[in-house]
Amino acid sequence: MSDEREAPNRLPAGGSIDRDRPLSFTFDGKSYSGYAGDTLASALLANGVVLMGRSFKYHRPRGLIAAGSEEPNALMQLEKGDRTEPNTRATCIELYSGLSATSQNRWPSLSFDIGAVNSLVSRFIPAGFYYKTFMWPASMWLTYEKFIRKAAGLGVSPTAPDPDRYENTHAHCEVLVVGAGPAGIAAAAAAAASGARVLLIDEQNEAGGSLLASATGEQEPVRAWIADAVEQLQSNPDVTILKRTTVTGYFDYNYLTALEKVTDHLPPGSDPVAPRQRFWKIRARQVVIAAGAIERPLVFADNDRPGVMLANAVNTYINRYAVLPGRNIVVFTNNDSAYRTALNAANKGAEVVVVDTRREVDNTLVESLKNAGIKHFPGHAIVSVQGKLAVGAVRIMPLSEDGKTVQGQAWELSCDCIANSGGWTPSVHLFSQSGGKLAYRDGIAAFVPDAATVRSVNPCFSAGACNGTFSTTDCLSEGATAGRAAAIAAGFPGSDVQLPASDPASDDRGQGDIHPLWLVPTVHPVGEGAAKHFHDFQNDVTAADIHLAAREGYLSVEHLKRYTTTGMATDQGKTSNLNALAIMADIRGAQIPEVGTTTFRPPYTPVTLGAIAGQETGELFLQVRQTPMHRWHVEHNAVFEDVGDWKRPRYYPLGVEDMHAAVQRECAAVRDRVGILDASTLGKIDIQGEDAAEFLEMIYTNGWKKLAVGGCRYGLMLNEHGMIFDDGVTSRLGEHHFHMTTTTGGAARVLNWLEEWLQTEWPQMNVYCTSVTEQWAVAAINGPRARELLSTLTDIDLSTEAFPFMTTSEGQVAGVPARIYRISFTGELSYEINVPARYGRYLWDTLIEAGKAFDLCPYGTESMHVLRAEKGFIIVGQDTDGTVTPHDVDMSWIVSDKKDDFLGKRSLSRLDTARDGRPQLVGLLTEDPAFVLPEGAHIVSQVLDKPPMPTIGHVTSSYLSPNLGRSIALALLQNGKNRKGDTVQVQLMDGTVINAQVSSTVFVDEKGERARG
Amino acid sequence: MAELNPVLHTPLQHATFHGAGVVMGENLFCAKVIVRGNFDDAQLTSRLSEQAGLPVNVAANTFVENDSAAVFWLGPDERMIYSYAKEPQVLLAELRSVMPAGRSSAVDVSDYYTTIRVGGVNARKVLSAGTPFDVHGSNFPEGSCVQTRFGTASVMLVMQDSSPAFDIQVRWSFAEYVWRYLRRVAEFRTLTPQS
Amino acid sequence: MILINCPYCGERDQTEFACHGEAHIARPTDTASLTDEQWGDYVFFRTNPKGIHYERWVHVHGCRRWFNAVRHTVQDEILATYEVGAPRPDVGGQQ
Ligand SMILES: [Zn+2]
Repeated sequence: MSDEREAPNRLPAGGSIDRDRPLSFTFDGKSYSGYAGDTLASALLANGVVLMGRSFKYHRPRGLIAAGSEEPNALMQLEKGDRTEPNTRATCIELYSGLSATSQNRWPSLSFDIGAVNSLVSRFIPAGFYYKTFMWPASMWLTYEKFIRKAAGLGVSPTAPDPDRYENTHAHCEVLVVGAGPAGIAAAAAAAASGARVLLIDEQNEAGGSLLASATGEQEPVRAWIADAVEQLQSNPDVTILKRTTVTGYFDYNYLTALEKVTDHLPPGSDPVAPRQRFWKIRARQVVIAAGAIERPLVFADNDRPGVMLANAVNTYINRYAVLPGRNIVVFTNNDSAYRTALNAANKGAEVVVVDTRREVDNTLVESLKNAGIKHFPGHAIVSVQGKLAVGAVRIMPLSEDGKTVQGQAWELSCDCIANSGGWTPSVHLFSQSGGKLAYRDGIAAFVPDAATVRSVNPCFSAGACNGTFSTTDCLSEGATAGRAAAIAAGFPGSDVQLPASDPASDDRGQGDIHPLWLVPTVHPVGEGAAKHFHDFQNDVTAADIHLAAREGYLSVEHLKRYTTTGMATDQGKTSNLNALAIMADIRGAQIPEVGTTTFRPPYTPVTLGAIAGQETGELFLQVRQTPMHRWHVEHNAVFEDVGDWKRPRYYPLGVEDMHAAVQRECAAVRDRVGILDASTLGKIDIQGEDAAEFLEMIYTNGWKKLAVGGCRYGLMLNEHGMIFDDGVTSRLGEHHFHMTTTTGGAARVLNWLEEWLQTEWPQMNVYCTSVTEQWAVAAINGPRARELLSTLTDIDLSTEAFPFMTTSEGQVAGVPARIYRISFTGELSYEINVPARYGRYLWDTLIEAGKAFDLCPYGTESMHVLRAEKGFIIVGQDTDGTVTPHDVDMSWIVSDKKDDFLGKRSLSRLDTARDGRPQLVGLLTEDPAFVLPEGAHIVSQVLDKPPMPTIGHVTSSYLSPNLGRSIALALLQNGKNRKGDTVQVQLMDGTVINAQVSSTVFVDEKGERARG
Repeated sequence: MAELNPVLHTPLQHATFHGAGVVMGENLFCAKVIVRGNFDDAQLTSRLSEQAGLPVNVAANTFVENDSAAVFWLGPDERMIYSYAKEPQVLLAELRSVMPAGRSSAVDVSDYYTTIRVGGVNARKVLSAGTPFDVHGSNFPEGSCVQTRFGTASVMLVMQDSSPAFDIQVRWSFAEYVWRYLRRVAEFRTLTPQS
Repeated sequence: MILINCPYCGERDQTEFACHGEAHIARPTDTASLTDEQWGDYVFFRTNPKGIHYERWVHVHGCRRWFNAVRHTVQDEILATYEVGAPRPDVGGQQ
């Protein structure tokens, strides 16, 4: 890049930018150039772009205030299309080639915004405006909301799926250090020297913290020490350093979350492998918080004009990015820290004037200003700012002794930048989130962590500026002490680190003798006159709003926050909270600690939802379970259904068949010939032990002691409420050995149920339960020709005499060890062939091959449902819903009256469960045999013109039965037992009413002869 | 009867992954039996140990292994026994023969689980994406095995050697899910810039 | 996301566990002789204290053992864990 095209505010030398790597980018469609090492903010500022956004409520023109993540104003719509992201802070975006950013919250353009009319009528939009105006009537809210959203939107969301990939991962360490400034580096070095596993996290792309803003030559020994310490940490295998990473939350048991921006500093999509961002879930034994401090603005008239910046931000732009934000800079301060900015700016060629609200200023500072030729106004304050789109001049006046008024000789100072400092607010966010309490320290006019209130489950230490310690020398030693203490607390020997010698001459003075001035007076009382005193820039909240809130009785900080919305924007009030509550304290005539602070909530900075989801999207969104035959189903065009976590074939369409046609064909094949179903998903539990039969007596409603070895029995399980909870067939494999089956979705629940009773209530029982669901692959062959088919593959005698219905047999099938259960869920002759899962696919292939001679038809869960409904077999969870007893589903036959007790038994005789007229399971046959009732449709007691109509039950299962050539349904109907033969009315969604006759629940082969044949 | 030629399948038999610092694949099928009983009973433990060829009274969260077998702690009354030499039915019958009838159980779970080996310098990072358990050597030394969570699936993590190489024992039906999960996070590691 | 000390496996992440409600509720033995009120009290009624709560937990993704825990419901801190069948531990007069 040639010199004549150099950006106007870029200094000719210095900074940590790489001048050999120019990068071009666009802002609001216009092209600019910056350097590698710039942020979007520094590059725009270098190019003389001061106006970067419009404010939320009044649409006031706004520019940069800060240089870090506390920035409230310079919110950008980053990139376009499916990667666009609203509300990104220009100060946190590392510049990359081709970056495209757009300003937000303005229409039609940034410098001419129609919404700014809000500014003219602002006396009509005071605090609480939205609450007051839009609270009533509620029905109008939808109308108002559209208006508000359009007028006050902060950027736009992408409409297409996010093309980027994210990762979500866990980390563990003995000592987590938050912040890589002097305190954090010293802490990490001390902890690592002890041998502890250390995780060091910092928001920036390089270590250094506050020193990243220091000028060449400043604090050289410390910077050299830090560079050396970082190198040592990097080479230590027990230390992990995460840069570009923000710790966003501090949760219980030292569980912290962090967001790492892995590739956000590169052009989008340019890294084909790495995730865009990584979300860390960290478990730390000990935490050292060294999060630094945030400078807060002074609250003076029209302090939001573009060009009004925080003093240290100006310093950072000069030293780190080689950008001089103004040629005529007014430094406005109530403490010492801003003097560094004044001297630096003057050194770089700016005309600087220092306006200090304090009358007495340390003599060495006064001398240094004098030496640098900087004009000094102690005891003065800015009373007005001229310029709308950019600062043009300020007016200053002497402050009264108490700081409440201004009087005397006014001066007009022309300027293009105001560097202001109201003091430093320690970043106590994480400490507060950990449950620790804050204490107000008068000497520094800020809240700091109260170390005595650290929660025992969240052991942590605070060090450095976040602890109210500002001098670099003190930060280093405090950090080293904290790191050492943390390592000792984590069980390691303490180690000392050699710190650099202190250099009082160049050490950070911190705030010096700060004189808080929470609200800078003008010639008008607060709220009068045209000027506004902002404390919350992002949510446009002014000192006058706090006065209004106080007048209306919102005196508590929590009320103040919600009423004025101060601190509730995306920056979470990082620069505004202390000013707001100090102003409130002043109004109430209270001390600041009496007013207290609002709760600091995570996240510290916004977290992308994609990063929280991480890799668990798409096929990894939920766990998916597959059977050993899964690939066969895929290869044969199966349409799958989710049952629990399982993928089960629902039907197998041939050619252009739809589900209806496929199911009709599959069902007919099972009743006429033979069908095959993958039943591997059924839950299976192996139960062994001398008390196993006794145990089943308690678990099931029926009797089990007399079941012969080799016999199978259907059972219902109730919970203690007496309600059906699962069902299945259990077989006796030996005197003390049972094989239980459960519903597909209920397997884990049932095993837990059994284990809970055994472990907590009946530990004396000798019973052991082991899940064997996936041990066995199961092919169920059903239909009149099932025996013929199976006989071609096994030597087991399949005759009814040798192998009757409801028994089990062991042997070889297709040359592999198998256990066959002769049980039936279709009402047909049926064999459920179990083989070890490793042979599942082989068994299936072999059956399919052998089945060709019998026209064997694979069928899915939909046909299974139709076939079982034809037989009136219930599906737990479909025909029952947790309020249904065995008596309600006409299964009183399975409830033993010989047993003294079983789970749920006592509940069956409770007043409500024993009463007549409960909803009971019935069959329904529609008058029009072709009409299939929708499942869930209500049976009504009275037909009205339109819904709702009084309901007496609902349809639970409904199908077109191919074997009956008509529709069938099951329903829960009040007093259904006594309504057989009645005609009832079923109401559809559109209000139509369908007549149906109440029938038995068994529609096919009522005597059950087919399964026994 | 038709001509029979039984073919054995395992859930991930064709799955392999080779990336920078990560190598993954499915271990060979082996016999596995879960035994449950009173492990405070010296007679049971000595007879079982003799039969297994390894001590079965292992400490919580540990396992022992030799060339032909392995014993894993699953719970106070529960162990998993692998045999690399025997057929599942043989292992089951042998173990059952030394256990007190009616007061213990032995169940063949050879097919219930499969095992994925994850090795390489980035193996720990790959595992940490899915499990909240700390797999660092100081917390999970050689000889450790833990039952925990990977993604939403229950798994047993086994520290095989400190090269490092880990085994993830997972139920058959979850194998494909866990494999895809591992592959996705392993791919992130392949070329992640560490600049 | 708290840590829970499984009496069998040691300290593990909360996501490996499930809570099964109040502990130390014995199932009545002679259920047939109970009145509806007595049975209903066992089935439906549980304490809901602000402070110390005795709970039954299961290590779902771990050893699948049930155990009891003393949890402070305000601070969401587990003060002790112990085996089923063991008496309520002394948690040092915490309320
Ligand atoms: Zn456990």
